[in-house]
Amino acid sequence: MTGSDWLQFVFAGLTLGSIYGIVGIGFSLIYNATGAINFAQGEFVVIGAFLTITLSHSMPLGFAIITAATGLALVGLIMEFTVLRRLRGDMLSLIIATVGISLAFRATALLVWGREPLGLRHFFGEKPIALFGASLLPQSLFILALAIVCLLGLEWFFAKTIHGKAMRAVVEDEDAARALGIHAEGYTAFAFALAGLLASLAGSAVAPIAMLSYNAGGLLGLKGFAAAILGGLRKPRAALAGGLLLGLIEALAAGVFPSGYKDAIALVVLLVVLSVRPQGLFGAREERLV
Amino acid sequence: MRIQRIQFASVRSLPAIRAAYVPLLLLAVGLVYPFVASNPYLVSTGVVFFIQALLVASLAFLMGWAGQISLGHASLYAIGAYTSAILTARAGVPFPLAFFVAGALAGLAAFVVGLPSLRLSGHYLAMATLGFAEIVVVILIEADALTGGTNGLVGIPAAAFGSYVLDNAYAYYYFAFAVFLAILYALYLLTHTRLGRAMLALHANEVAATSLGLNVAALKLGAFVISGIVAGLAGSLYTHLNRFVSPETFSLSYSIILVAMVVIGGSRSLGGAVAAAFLLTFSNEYLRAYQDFNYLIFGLLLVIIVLFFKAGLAGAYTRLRAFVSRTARGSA
Repeated sequence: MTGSDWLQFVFAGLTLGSIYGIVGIGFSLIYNATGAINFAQGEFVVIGAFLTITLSHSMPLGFAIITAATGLALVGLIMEFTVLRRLRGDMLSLIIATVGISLAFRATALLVWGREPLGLRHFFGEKPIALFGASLLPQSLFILALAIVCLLGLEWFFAKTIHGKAMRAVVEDEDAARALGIHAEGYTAFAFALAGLLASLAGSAVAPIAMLSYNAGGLLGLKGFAAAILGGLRKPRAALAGGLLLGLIEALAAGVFPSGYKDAIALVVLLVVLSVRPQGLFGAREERLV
Repeated sequence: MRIQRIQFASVRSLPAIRAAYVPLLLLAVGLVYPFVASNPYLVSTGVVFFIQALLVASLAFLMGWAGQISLGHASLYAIGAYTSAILTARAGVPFPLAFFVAGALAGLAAFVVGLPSLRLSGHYLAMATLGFAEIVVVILIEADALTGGTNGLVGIPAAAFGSYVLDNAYAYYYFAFAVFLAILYALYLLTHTRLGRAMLALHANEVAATSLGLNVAALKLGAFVISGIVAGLAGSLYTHLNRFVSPETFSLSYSIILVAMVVIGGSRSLGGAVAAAFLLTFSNEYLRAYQDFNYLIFGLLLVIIVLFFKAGLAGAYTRLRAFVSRTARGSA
């Protein structure tokens, strides 16, 4: 293979990796706020994409994307208010509840949008940009930019704004934050809204380059989680880095192994990281009791 | 005073008698069912129920007693089903051997699935099992020289013991029924002995269990292996009922449905697991047209049960029994 072929794989990897990264950031946000993993995160992405596709028939694409993202943020809020809030600290119940929600979302996607995979038109046309002998779709560039903007936005929010600082305080020590008069519940709900918003954006952005079917959420969620685990669940920055790395591994492996095994590679990475270094490449070790 | 005491004792022993009646009654129903069911198809549906009951019960054993979660139980079922299919259809291995190898291989796979549980718990373990299940599905699809890929594997022979071929629905029904009873009884014994109590201790508090000298690692892996063996045997039963296997039977959604059934049954109850499997088989059979809708209902049901009825069907049964005996006593 020539250098430009490899570069082509790198571009493909970074594009998909950005999507995994954004989904991973969603996992990270919710995990930090509640100590729970949202097993419906992948379904958020699919529903966000489908909503955008449907809305784009009746309004400009930009509005459709924003409306869908707002809708999913609301879904996240409702989920937190009605279900997850009542189950805090009960690990098994939290898993089962979010797994139940993922099943219900998948069924809803099937009932509303049907079995056929759906796609969306490219945001900025389909004319590839030539770069060092490889070509790059404008959509890929957009996805990369979106990932970076999301991350910078979150970093700015957590570092500079009063609400971001309060949220970090809640993550650090909820009781202490409460003692300081911080409304912890509000911030937990906000984390869910943010995760829904990010998932929907990722869905809208990926729909033009990958047709999504109603049950794509399972694998997307797993890979997003793999991204977050690979980098480290504790920090959005690490989750995005993990996503990019995972995308690269997947794309380069697709050049070596039969392409059908592509999906398995990310999962093998997930299992290896889970059993060797569950805190992630960039995470600090967490102590456990026994 | 004396009379009162006797009355009290008899009321107390009533549930115990009833508890013995219920399995006997169900045994009778299971034996008579093929005669009542008007056609071979319905008899085969009975076998589907046994298979699903074994799957749900084995997962309930893992979740309810050992407190370990697996979102990939269908992958062990798949390993059992494909092992049996490949051995009998491609290698000509006799059914009884294939049946046991299916259980053994699934048990071995469950050991591998269980390994992360020694270091991980809760969410991490759930995700690891989910990842494992997805890898199995990818392999089933991609290793098509062996598995037939997405088209599945055909030409699977009927179950047979030597020259006795179980090629009609009735014979196979009784074989499956016997397997179902034997395994369920084994699980019942396992959960009502020292081992079951040790697992409950592990479930309640891992640290305390360790300090009591329980071998936590062996208990966890043992629970995974036992539940895997049962799932593998169920897979073999499925293969020789259907005489065809394809990857879509063993999807992620099915694993999640199985978790749903365990929760609906009331995770620490084998009877509840069997009842939930009945509900699942019934709804798949008679609400087939609404299958997509079923998944929505099951998903929502999971959330509702976790929120409001932690003990599931088994809990509802206990409450109902308490209510009945209360009203019976009240009216007497």
